[in-house]
Amino acid sequence: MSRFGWGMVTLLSAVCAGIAAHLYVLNAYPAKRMREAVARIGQDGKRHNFLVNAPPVTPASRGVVRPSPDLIYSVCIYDLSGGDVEIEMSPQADYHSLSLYDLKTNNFFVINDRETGDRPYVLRLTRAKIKGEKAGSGETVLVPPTPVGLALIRRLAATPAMLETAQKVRLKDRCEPVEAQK
Amino acid sequence: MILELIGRIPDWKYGQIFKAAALFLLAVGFEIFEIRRTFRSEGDTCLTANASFTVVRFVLLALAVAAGLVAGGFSAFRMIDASASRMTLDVGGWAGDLSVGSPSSSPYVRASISERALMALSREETIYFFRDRDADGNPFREACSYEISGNPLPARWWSVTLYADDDFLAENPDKAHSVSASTAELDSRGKWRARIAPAPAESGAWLSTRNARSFSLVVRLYNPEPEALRTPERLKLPVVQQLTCAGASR
Repeated sequence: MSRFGWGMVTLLSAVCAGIAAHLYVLNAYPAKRMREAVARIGQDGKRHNFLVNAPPVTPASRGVVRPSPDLIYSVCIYDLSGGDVEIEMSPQADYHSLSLYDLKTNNFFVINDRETGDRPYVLRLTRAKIKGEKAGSGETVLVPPTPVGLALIRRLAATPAMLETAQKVRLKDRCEPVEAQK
Repeated sequence: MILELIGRIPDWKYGQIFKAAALFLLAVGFEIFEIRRTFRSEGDTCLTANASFTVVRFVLLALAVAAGLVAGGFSAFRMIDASASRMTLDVGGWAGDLSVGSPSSSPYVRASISERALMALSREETIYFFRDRDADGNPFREACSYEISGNPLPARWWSVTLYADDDFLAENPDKAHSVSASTAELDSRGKWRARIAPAPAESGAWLSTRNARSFSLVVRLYNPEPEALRTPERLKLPVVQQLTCAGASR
């Protein structure tokens, strides 16, 4: 190959490597951040399918960037490797919502109190192919895009009175394997 | 020893790029060593000359690819850091993007959100707007005082929160990190206002900038009105005006 040919090969290789690295970082970075959050909250697998009621947000809250000080959060790392998981959100008068995230940071499901009304809302996560069906018990059944992900319950707590109510109500929330209820 | 040194590069952001490039160059180095050893074992002077030529080209190629890896990775992280410029909406200086949290969001928006607003909600539930500059385009500074004002926002509930330059709440005991639909007081014209400063004003709402350094503001609209979703560019988001800075009043 001529010197010019080698030069072109070298230049093209550098450009291709640059584009590949750029796209790789862009696509891998969100998943990396999410996996880090899942590992931290789920204590590297030791605390999966368990609802953690995080304390009210203060300047000492350093787990996830930009938390809202007007909300309190309960978080659960769902893991369907051992079977179905059920999440329950208890009702209260002020805003509250349940949102689910896959390992690519997609918020693939969210429901709030306007939709759930004044009854406890139960969501069953499964890997079985029954997406969208409603079970006879009234619970919603959902197949998440990834078998491991994150569930987050937000409750409005912008005033001391709201905070007190939300902290009491969320004690009834749960996230646990279906097997554990038997 | 070399692997140990490479392993010491911090496993975070830019460090990963240099680690990848260093490992690549190390692998190439071993290949070159093998090529030279193979040619030398042949013992032919002509072959040895060819080997030197091949090695030079191989080294140049490897360096070019390593430089490409570093440049590509570095540019990706720079674009992630410049998150505001990745957003598709600019509403009076507030940057936003309705694809946040959605599978349809661009890789740039997704990466930016994972860096600065992980676990953001999709637009039907919440719309977010971000800004780190005042109305004149100057970066927010802890030493300055500002006034933020506006009308109640078209959502079931809204808030404006101040974050320090590390994207967490500013480390101060002031308990003045946000103003919201629950706490904002409206005047006779239906407007709310708050002072953004290291110390509170004599009266009115306050967002404390103590220890916030070069801070940013985030507007959240929970359960936005349909109109806000249809035409977000027409939203009347709060206005931020600088009042004083470094002791000089304007």
